Amino acid sequence: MAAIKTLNPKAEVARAAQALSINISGARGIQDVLRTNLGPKGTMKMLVSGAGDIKITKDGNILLHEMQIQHPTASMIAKACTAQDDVIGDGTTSTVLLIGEMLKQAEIQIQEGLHPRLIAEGFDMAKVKAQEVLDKVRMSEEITRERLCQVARTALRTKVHSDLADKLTEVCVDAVLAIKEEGKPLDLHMVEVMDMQHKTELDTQLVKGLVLDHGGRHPDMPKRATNAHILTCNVSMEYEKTEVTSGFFYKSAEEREKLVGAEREFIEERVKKVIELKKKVCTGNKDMFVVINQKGIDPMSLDMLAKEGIMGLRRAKRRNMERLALACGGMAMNSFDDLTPDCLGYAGSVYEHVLGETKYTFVEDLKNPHSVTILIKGPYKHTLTQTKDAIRDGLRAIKNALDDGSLVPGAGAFEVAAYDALIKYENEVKGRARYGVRAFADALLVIPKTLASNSGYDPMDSLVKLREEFKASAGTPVGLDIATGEALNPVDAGIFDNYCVKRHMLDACSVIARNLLIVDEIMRAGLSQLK
Amino acid sequence: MSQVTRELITLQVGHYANFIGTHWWNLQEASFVYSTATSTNINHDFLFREGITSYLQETYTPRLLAIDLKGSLHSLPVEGRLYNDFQAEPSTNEAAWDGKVEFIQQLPQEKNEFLKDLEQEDLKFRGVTDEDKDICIDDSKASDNDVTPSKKVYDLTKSVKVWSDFLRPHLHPKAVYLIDNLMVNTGRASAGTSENIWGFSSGYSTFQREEVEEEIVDRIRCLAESCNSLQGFQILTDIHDGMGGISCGILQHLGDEYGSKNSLTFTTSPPHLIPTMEPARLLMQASILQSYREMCQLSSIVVPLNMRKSMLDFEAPCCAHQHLVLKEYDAYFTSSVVAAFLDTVSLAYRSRASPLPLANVVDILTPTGRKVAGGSLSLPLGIKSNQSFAEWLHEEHECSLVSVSAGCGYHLDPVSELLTVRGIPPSKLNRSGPKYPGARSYTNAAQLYSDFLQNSSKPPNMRFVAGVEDPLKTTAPFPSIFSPSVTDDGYIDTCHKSSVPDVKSTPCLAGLHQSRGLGILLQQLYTSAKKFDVMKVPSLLEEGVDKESWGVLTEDLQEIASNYCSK
Repeated sequence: MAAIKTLNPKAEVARAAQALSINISGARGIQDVLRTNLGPKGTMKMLVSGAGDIKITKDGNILLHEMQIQHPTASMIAKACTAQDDVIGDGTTSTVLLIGEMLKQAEIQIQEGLHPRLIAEGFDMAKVKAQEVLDKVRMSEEITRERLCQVARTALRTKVHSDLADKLTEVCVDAVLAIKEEGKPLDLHMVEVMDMQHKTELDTQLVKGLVLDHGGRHPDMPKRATNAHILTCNVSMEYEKTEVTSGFFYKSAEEREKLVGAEREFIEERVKKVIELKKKVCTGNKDMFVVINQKGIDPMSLDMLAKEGIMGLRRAKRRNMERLALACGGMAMNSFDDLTPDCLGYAGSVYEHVLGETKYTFVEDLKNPHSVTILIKGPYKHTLTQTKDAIRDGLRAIKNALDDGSLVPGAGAFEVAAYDALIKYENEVKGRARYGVRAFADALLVIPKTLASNSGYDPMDSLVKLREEFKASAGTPVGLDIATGEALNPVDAGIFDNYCVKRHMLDACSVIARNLLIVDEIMRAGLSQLK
Repeated sequence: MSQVTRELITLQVGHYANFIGTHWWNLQEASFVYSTATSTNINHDFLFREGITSYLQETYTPRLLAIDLKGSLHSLPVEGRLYNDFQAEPSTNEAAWDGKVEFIQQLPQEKNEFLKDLEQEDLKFRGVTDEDKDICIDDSKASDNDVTPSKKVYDLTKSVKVWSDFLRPHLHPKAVYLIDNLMVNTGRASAGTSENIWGFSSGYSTFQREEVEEEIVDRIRCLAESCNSLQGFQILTDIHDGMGGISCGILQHLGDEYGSKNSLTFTTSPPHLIPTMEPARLLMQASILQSYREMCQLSSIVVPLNMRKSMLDFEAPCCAHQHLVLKEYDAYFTSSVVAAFLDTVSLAYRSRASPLPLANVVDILTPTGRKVAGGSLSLPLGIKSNQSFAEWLHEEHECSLVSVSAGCGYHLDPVSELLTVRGIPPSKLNRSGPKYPGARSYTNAAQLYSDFLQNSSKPPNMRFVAGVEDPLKTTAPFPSIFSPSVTDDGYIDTCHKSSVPDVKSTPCLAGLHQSRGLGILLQQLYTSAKKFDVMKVPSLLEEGVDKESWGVLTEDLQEIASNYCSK
């Protein structure tokens, strides 16, 4: 009897083999849920909640978020995999599959009487070896636009159908290339993602400029501006109590009026400064003036601006201040004290588009935009979300490729190569830990096997073909052709994965599987109520 | 100046806060007036905004962001039904996928009678235009004389599980934000209890996650963008769990981005939640302490709302209201009382005639660094059917106000107060001929009340009395909390014995007070913070709180409390 039982009779305890089987069944369960998702031929899942909310996805990470996971082991795996997604943005499904498979292989060995710790040891050794293989198969050539398209397409084809995937590939690659500046780290925040609920998802497009989700709040304001000088600022143009003191302190009504008047004048002065600048830059020609403010602009100030034909937008996103400066040039002003024409940005055209109650303002025709917008369209809310999730993954895949400076051939090629290397390595390992290496190698094959079975082929059959082809190919990568079930060369077919995703996957799997294996007692007492 | 719509944005953070908020919006919607014949004294534009759906239907929705955990909506779709496209049964064709699509459907949530009737009402409204179901009604234009659910009597006691079960107004699609449980570091659901407690610190770090912060911040920005002269924010927040941390993050953002706007924070903790396990209790107490520390620094006013007579003792008795029968273990009931308080007291700054700017409310109630104010409520007012307001003031006024802020008293060195009286028609001000002839000349209750208090020369000196004629409309889905002696229109009649209490509306009085009573409350917080041994609460340590930071917290609380010490 477990010691805890004497202290807390209500405690539930599972020991040794029983504990292990709980962990294994949890890992297998979550694996089963995600198994059908893997690859471009996986099954899309459409989740409808009790209230009628729809979610369409086959992204492992999103599914893990949507499912209310009860099993403690499963939820632990889910959290670990979500963490992976946060860091690198992809590979959740593969990680979950691998963990499940590693535990399955381990279970076979354990039933033969092997101690879990020995297997865990083997896993560690195998992981190191597998990472060596990964470093060998990765292609560290210069990343061209074509390569970026290929890696993005590989990622996107597993999320949306092929027409849309191809469309999004172009959009994502162009977006990243536009914001990429030599010698600076890539900041994906400079790609704004905006959605509009109309048309179809194939109308999703890249806007080489910015789209803001608000517009002028005055009926007389121009709806369209050409040759626009853009002032981005973070200065309140709103009459209110001052920002410095907490309130008016006044003795009489007159004094209050006086203070209020002074305050109003103060704001008016600001607006006048803007108008003055407008008059300076827009002399006689067709130039127009646009103010984009992070703070508020009240109706009276809007009115003053409208009278001068100035387009004024209030309450812009904080991040758009940075984006605007990158897209149109100029800089975001925090005060109007020293306004010069140099502070202004420039856009060829600025115009408003109204959809229901939302106004969208497009800032386009820019000289050299270093910030762009992906405008997602779609008929339903859930298709918008689906496309948005896909774009996020596509952008991350491109960023990863640029950061790594290398790619890994996809379509299961790495797993086949690593299996081969590990089988050879097994013979070099002394002691019983070799069974762990063996289990790890077998587990890796779950990726090509699942790919094959999801595409409707016999997994074992495809596997044999792959391995034969790999032996014959002498070092060139061999992957699975999901269209035929035969072997192909992923480099020729343009199927690539991210290096960091694979590397992280190997790390995560071995750590989690190892931890789950060496658990020999599960207690449910007290602790669960602690948090 | 009074013509300007000075908008307020409401934030509801946490499940119990949303219970209160839902009652509050229901009460507001009940007080809508659709015909031009009757007038209302409440300017709803302060809290509601007009919009338009993509089908060119006008809408009138709360300027609201409600934050809760995933799974707490039951039958309400996150986006609401107002703007939603008509959708037949969801079909797998919609998935942009050329392979197989697996269809996973949860059983539709059972709707209670009230929600079903609401749906019928919506349907009737839309009926002519098309055959859709589940689509919106246009609240601002509705002028139907049908039997609306508000005229029926419901017993929702059993069927209300979550706040969306009795939500009457439609919300804007961006009004509800659900936080993913997976991101929240809650303990696992333990066998038997559903005590998934998460602390202040994990709430705060949840808010700091990029996707959470960005979404919340952006939704607030959208609300602010639509306001012409935003005057501030009303924040209704749970503080016993991680939601306190989330609101704290929001308040910090509001301070950065909307520095000049006032924020009025109402802190709530559910009286029905009594933690059984010691660790859970400690974590809840710690969260409350942490929340007060931060909120006193970040918001313009903090009003603790708690039915119990203590902020930290979860088993302290509840404050008793003379004419109410409360089930204190039911959130549906307790939250309705708090909502009545909010609806009444907020009339001071959202009445049509002369709304007090929020900045003035803040100035009145927060002299010399005292940020915490207390609330009180008198529901129903307690005027007898045959009594006039003037008479009632002279005879029974004394003890009618009951604290809704953890039972703190207001008669100890009161500094300032803001009172709102509602629902007293001119005919009820004074009866002809009796004892208080001076009262005859008044046309509204606020004036009468104000002068009465002035003449009786009771402290405090700084006082503002507001009043509107609209009573509190307590029709469904407001729960029946009134004792049998309350008549239909909210007066007291001891002979009145109706078997089914069916109070339709009631006069009501609510106040916000600044007095030393609150200092005592804060002193209690400080002493318990001092006694608190962080090292003995593993869950707190796990969240990254250590002895040192707790020491700082204790000092801060002491400083906050010290503002209340008399010189």
